[in-house]
Amino acid sequence: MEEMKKTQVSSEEKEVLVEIKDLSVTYKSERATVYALNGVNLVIHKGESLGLVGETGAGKTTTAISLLRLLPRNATITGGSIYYDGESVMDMTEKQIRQKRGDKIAMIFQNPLTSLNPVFTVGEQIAVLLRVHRGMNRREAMKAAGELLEQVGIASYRTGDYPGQFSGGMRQRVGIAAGIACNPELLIADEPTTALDVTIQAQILELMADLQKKRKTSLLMITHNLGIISELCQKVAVMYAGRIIEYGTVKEVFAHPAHPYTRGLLEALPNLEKKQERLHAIPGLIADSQNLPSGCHFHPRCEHCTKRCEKERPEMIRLNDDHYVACFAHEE
Amino acid sequence: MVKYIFKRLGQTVIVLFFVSVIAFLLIRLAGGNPALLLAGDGATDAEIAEIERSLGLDQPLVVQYFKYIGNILRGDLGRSTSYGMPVANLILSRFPNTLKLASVTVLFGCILAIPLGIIAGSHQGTVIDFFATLFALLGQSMANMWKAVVFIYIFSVWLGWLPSIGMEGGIKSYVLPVMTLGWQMSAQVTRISRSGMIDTLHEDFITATYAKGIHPLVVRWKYAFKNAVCPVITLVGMRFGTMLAGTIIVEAIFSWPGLGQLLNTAVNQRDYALVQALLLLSGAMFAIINFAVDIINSLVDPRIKLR
Ligand SMILES: Nc1ncnc2c1ncn2[C@@H]1O[C@H](COP(=O)(O)OP(=O)(O)OP(=O)(O)O)[C@@H](O)[C@H]1O
Ligand SMILES: [Mg+2]
Repeated sequence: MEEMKKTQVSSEEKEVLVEIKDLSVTYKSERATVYALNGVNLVIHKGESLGLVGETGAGKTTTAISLLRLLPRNATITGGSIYYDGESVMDMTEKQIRQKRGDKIAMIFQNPLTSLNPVFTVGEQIAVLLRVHRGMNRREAMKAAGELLEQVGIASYRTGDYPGQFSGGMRQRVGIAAGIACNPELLIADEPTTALDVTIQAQILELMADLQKKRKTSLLMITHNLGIISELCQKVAVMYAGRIIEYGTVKEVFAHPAHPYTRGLLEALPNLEKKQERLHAIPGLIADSQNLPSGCHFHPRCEHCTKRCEKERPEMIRLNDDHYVACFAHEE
Repeated sequence: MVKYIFKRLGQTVIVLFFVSVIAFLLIRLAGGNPALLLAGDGATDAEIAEIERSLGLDQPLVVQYFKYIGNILRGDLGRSTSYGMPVANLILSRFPNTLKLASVTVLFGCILAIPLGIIAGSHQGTVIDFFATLFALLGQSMANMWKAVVFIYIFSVWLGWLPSIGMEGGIKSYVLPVMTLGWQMSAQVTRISRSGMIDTLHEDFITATYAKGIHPLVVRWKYAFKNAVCPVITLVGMRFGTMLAGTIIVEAIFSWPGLGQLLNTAVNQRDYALVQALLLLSGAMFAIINFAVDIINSLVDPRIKLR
């Protein structure tokens, strides 16, 4: 009891670092328009680690790169706003946002095999951050890059090697070393472990948890692995078809999932304690973001779907201080 | 790296060997009995036999080949029948002219085309991209002969600014031949740098580089272009090699005293010793340029030597 109160109080006192309000993003391709984000609302507090879960195509990466203002040219922000430390990201000048990237806000990319430049040494790819943001000269920066490699468990003499000389797991470590190089306020990790095998996954996660604790960085952890979230995060946001449909503390959401989709996700987890006959899978297809269902995007797959769900889109409802859900079933 | 250099060096030596064999056999395959050719019409059998013996043609081919190589190494490339002087002297007097023309063309072509390709590729679909593409299309689709004639008409005949013949006019003499040859080369270089940039800029690691807060110009010109530069180096090397072999049409039109003219005369006059030497020279230059290109590329892109 005592402990519960404490965490509640502290989470309210925490300062807001990132606030995403009603963000909508579309991608134009030759034939179709992809509605990637459809009114995303999300808050990240200072020092907090937030897990963002959702199926493939839910819009997790899009959310992350919107925050860095790095959407590709075929993307349009059709509405909403993003605030970083009280400043509107969209109103920043090119120079202002550039000074944040890599320094205040760093990102570890989804695929370690494609996110390192193959013709530059890994040392250079870390050192450039220190040259640009810390004003170090070449030698200092390269030395610091070696120390960062050591921190993620790679020998420092390997700064002169190229990405092709590293395994997938090691490349992801290089990505992490680059991510923490400037001691960012916010670290975005986009599925940092999907490309890795299980034992290496565990190592990487441990490493990230360790680093986050030591450096008091805020973490936005993108994943579709709920296990990772329960280990690493205080808060969780569940995303479905470009919207956040449930948000709260990991404890609360995992114990009392309120949205049918979240319940489905949790049931789909293999449970080692209860001997299940077979895994549950959420019925139906992943939402097609080129052709979204009306009303609640989840309604075609929902067991509790009503007439209202087919027509109206549910807004976030507060269940308690630690738990919010976008589902009509929870309205009083 | 050292291992890679030695491997490529070995391959280059093998290529050089084949080039020399082909050049050696050429005179024997193309014209039948070279002694007959050298003796000219109306020579007596005795004269022909005498020439055969002096050329060593009565000896086995292998022996003849080694003699041929030995002569080359001593700088003896035979005698040109059409010019009536040693082939080596002839080539030494002409090669620098071709080398100068080719080097200036490559230099200016690259200075213009590489930035153009990078900018066009970074701003796909914009006005500058449109003009760069147009520039490349025209350069590649118009024949050099046609371009040369148009340039001569405009700049020499009409405006009277530039000489159209020979290389006595100093820097001015270079302008028109360089424009003619350079446009074609820059067209190709522009296209290949542009498409390389477009491909590279779509890569994840470029987004990752932007996410580090690096200035867009540095991202494009340094971090992206290094990924796109290898095909450009290969292309420039090939074009340089082609031009070093002598550009027959352009040299003929502008009366440029280079290897191309020499080759033209040699073929027309059935000057076998000269043809043979030019063939050997261009083959050797290609092999050496190829070697250089591969080494440079492997320094730029570490994946090449791992392959
Ligand atoms: N550059 C792009 N052009 C067109 N459509 C895109 C582009 N990037 C993403 N999309 C589309 O936008 C939607 C959201 O994509 P996003 O990458 O944000 O999903 P995600 O949640 O990160 O998925 P994953 O788990 O597979 O990484 C998807 O339908 C995707 O196909
Ligand atoms: Mg993604």
